[in-house]
Amino acid sequence: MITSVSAQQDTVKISISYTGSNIQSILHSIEESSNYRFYYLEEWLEDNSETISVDFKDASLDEILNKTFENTPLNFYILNEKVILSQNNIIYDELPQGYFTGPVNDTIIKSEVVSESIYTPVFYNEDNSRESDEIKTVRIGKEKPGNVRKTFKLRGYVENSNNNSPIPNLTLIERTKGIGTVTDLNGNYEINLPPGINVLETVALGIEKQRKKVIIYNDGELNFNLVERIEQLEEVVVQGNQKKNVEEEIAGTNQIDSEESKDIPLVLGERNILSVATKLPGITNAGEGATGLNIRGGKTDQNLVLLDNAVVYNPTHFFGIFQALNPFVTKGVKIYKGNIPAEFGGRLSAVLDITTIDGNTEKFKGEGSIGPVTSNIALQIPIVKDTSSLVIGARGAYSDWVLRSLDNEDLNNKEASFYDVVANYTHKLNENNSLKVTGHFSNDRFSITADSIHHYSNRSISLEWNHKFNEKNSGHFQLNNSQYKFDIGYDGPSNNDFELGYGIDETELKLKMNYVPDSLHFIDYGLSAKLYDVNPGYIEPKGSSSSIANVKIPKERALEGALFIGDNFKISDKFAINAGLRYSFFAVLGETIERNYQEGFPRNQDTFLGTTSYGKNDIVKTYGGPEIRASARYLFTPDFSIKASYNNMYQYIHTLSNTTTISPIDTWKLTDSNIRPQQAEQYSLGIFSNFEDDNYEISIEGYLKNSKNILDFKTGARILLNEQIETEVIQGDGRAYGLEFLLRKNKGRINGWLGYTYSRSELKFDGLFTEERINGGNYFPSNYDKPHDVSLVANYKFTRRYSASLNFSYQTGRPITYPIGQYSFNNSEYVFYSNRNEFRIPDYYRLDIGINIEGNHKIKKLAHSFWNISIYNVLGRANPYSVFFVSEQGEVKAYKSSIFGVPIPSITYNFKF
Amino acid sequence: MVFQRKNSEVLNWDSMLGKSRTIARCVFAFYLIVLINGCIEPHDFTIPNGNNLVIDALLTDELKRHEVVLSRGYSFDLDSTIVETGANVKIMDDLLNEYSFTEVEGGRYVSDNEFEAKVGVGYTLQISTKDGSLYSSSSEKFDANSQIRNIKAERGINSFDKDGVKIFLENNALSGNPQYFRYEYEETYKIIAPKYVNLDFKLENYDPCKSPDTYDFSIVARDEQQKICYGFQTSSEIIQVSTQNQNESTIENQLVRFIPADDYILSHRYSILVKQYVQSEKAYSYYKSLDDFSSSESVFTDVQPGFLEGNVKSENNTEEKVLGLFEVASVSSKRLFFSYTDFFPDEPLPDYPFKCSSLARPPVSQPQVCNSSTFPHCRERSLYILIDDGSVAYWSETENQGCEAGPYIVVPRVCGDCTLLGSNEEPEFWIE
Repeated sequence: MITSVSAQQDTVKISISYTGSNIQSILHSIEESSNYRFYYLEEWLEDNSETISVDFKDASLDEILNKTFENTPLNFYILNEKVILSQNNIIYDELPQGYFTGPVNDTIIKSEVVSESIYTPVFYNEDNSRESDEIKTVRIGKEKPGNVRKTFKLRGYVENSNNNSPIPNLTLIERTKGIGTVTDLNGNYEINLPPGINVLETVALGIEKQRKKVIIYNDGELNFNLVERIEQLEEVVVQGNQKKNVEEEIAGTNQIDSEESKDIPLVLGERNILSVATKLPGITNAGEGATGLNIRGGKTDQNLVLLDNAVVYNPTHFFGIFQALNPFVTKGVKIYKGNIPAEFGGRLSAVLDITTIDGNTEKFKGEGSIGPVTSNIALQIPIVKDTSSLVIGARGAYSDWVLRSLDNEDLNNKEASFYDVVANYTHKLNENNSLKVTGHFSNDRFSITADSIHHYSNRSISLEWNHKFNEKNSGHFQLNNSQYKFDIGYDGPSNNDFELGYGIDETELKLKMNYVPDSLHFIDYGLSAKLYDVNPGYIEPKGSSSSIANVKIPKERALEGALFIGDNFKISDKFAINAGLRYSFFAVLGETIERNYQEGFPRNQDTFLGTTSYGKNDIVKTYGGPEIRASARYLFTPDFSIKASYNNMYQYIHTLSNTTTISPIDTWKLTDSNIRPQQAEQYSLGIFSNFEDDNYEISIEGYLKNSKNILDFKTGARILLNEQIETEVIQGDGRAYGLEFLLRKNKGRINGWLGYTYSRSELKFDGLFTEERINGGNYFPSNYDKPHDVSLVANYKFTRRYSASLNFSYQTGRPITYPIGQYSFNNSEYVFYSNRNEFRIPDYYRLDIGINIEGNHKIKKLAHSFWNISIYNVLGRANPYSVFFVSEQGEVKAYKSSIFGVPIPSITYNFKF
Repeated sequence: MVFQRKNSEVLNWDSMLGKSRTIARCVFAFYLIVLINGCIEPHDFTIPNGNNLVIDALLTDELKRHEVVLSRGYSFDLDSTIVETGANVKIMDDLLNEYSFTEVEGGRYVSDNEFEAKVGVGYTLQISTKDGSLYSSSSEKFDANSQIRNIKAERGINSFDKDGVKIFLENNALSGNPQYFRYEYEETYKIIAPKYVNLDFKLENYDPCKSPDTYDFSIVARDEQQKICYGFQTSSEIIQVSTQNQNESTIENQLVRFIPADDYILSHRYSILVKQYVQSEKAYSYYKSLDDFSSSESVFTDVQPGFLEGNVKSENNTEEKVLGLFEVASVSSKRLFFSYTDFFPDEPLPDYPFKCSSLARPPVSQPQVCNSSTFPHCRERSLYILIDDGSVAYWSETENQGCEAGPYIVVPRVCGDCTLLGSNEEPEFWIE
């Protein structure tokens, strides 16, 4: 019977008394009356039929559990309110020192003397672990005749094969004989073993287990090279990351974890890591309903979005409101917005490296959610135990079904639906080889007018094979294919029914090698080749009576290649650099027709000279150049560092869009002989600091970015199905600079972050001819220039189960081109416009709140549940998405449109099993 | 008692179940409407404005005196165009002919002689304004000709499911390869005043400011035809078609106009004249951008606007931007007639644009204070005031004279006099 649970300062005191109860029921009652949750395998307790009697008054959990588990092989580990039970082995509450380089401050909650457990004779109950698969036999020493010694001394050191650093506090045990030892700070050990066969096993948190059969003949030496393994204890990972912002050599990175993002209230309760990204400094979008991110003043087409290495061209559904990624299958995204590692290239602004989870190889698991717009499900299916697993995720919107069932005739012949599916398969072939295959498909269909249907889809397939050659060399071989396409079907009353569309397909082969010569260098190098195949547009008649002619803009093909090398070099304890060099190369390939224009004149019909034909795989034009990726970090103290970086890039693919934001009919155009590649260089400098035991992180980072050959269009350009698109395109310069401030609190009841960015993004189009000039050839603010940007994300935990979250954003209104007057023309009144982006729409601000309710964590429950109740835009602010002017019956009126102008409540049910 | 209560609880529960289903559906509908329609509201904004020169010049292959209209851009708070007077306007062609224009009224310049644009010949517009600035257009021509073969009317529904009459067009290429078309139409329709009677009020020498007011009032027979009139309106939207993606330059079943069934212009007899202009690619895209910039957009796609440059440039100042377009086009037109009963045989007529069922009996005379801004406004306007400002027409006399009510029943003027809506002269082309 639990009589009382009281919290005094930090320690919870529990009063409990039992006579003849089994352990399980004691744990349950502790769970029910406190916030403590136990994590263990049921079978551990089932074996233990022993009943015990306990009687505690105001005791700590520690005391109670010590007593409870006294006569069992169970150990326990208390982490905040989680109690993790383990059989035989002990969970260490600190990572080996130097594991994440540099000293880790102790946050000890409970510490056990390791040597005690080594001699505990309970090791026979061994579970099926993978380390028993393959045991290497090692012979030590030269047998001497007449040896009477009972034991021999074996010594050596243990190092981490990833970075060759020593592994301290690692336990080496001979289980059957009950002999063990622990490595010292430098990874050295000594153990006395009897002659003959001994099986040595290494045990340490975060390190893959290894067993070696050691035949002892005499004293000798044996060294171990071990591989890191992050234990599946979420908190450990978080702690490990705490120093990361200070210590990481690469400047300007952000990491968003899909699971962690679940508490942040978002529109319609849909988890969206891309939208969470916009809460971080330097990352914005043009507004609600705008696809694509603007990162550090870059255009939306300058981000390389990768899903398990394969490019995703449009990672959103329904005009950017939802992400086209299953939230349960997505592990997270790493965003490189400053220095981009040399292995990535082809986009100027940022890399969004999205990864999917690896399936559980032991247990069937599932996760799902039911929300007001979509439902999600993700399953993890073990195929071969401990070796391979399949993950399947699916998501769909029910809007189409709802539309059809509505009585409103205006709505029920409209369509709006989307779905996405994702699957991956991971297979660990052996210790040195593993494989991951991922496939993703997302699909959108909607109708804006009654007689047309828009449709777009993304498809990506990626394969990655990881191979370890030896302790110092490993390789990653990747084969990726991506496709994006859209089409519009038009079925009107006239004889011009049609279907038009666009498609891009790319296949990439990439080989990345890692070489770790010693603990100071981490070198990666490799090469990649990407073949593009673009169908820039086609139109086909629909139905037999349509007089639309088949038009197909000739295909575009190109090869993009790169050689890269990068080194993460620790020059001293304090000073480290991450330097990379990438040579990028682009070849426009036939079969194609090159259009030639008079040199030195604007490209138009009058200067068009004719065409040159190229056969299949003929090289039409090549571009390329070296790209430098350099970043340096100096640690003044373990909690304070300064980082600087320089980067330059090429981009050979451009979006064609004459709207101010991305729309689903934007097409991607490859660089050709008339359109040059975009280029950019970025300088950044930042200071990073952690304080109060890494609970707080603060950083200030500044950047300056110059770019050239940024694409824009002549006013009123026709983009779709234009065979001579270069006559509509102008290319100009861009410059962006900014200062980003981030304060983050990681632990405690209140956690979250506050970000502020001051930034500018400007463009200049100053061609030789009037038609190639915008705003008289002067710099003007880009469509996504928002000088002030404030974000606040805060979570407050009431109890283990209840938490509330808040999300506030403020941004300067984006620039807009306003009409400045009217004129009469052809018996009507029309408006004419100001200089490009001379004005701004009103500022944007929004507050969202959410309440999260976790279901209880009883182990017997079929599913763990999680409710999310949120209100998006609580203030009901009608944030203008755009301001536009309509001439109605000869009168010009200004309107502002907003997408979510009212508070939007939603409730989502998540479950996990 | 108890049993009954229980029963009613069951019933309530049932209806609650039904309700919750409806609520769920409404919630979904709410989300969808929010998502699909967004939210559009008026926006207050004051902006500076420019006064650029505006060129509105269309030269066609019709033999006539052509017209060039010059004006200035003006701010949104002004109601009307600022005309550009006193300019010197001429058109030159490739064959070195010069066609001079003379200003006939403020900003409207008409060619001194009749002439027609010839296929394949380039024309340039040249203007010098009274402030001494020189402007000239690029050389423009038309290369193709197309004829409207047929226009036809059909009853049908539009994309918003509204019943009405659709006007379709079919054309034939005559010469060249016409690819870009712009349409305009003129509509003429018969109006019959629903409350027309032969008699009318006659009020002369009315002076409401005298006390008591003075007047000469009588009931007379109408001396002017005010029963049947002909309304006229022109298209205000930009209607464009391109056959650029088609095999042939022929248009079949192109919808040029939809008239909702409840529009009164369909009421009796209706005629439409459709004009087709074969445009150059440049002119087509100019109009297309003009339309894109001014029509209501979808919430999600926001076309990048900018200063829309036409083909006229300043000779003195390269920074000065000129609005408008000088266009050379071939034209073809065709007229169509139909009556309401052709498509709506036994259906009631659309409503007259004013509600004519309400009759009034205003008191004959009411004391009126002329400086009404300082006094409370008069309670009700008298018959004489209503006649004087043209608000009412005669309907009948009444015997039953109650207090404060006058001796005549009146109708709104527009119900008894169609000349407020159109001309009472039958157009020359009219065919009954």
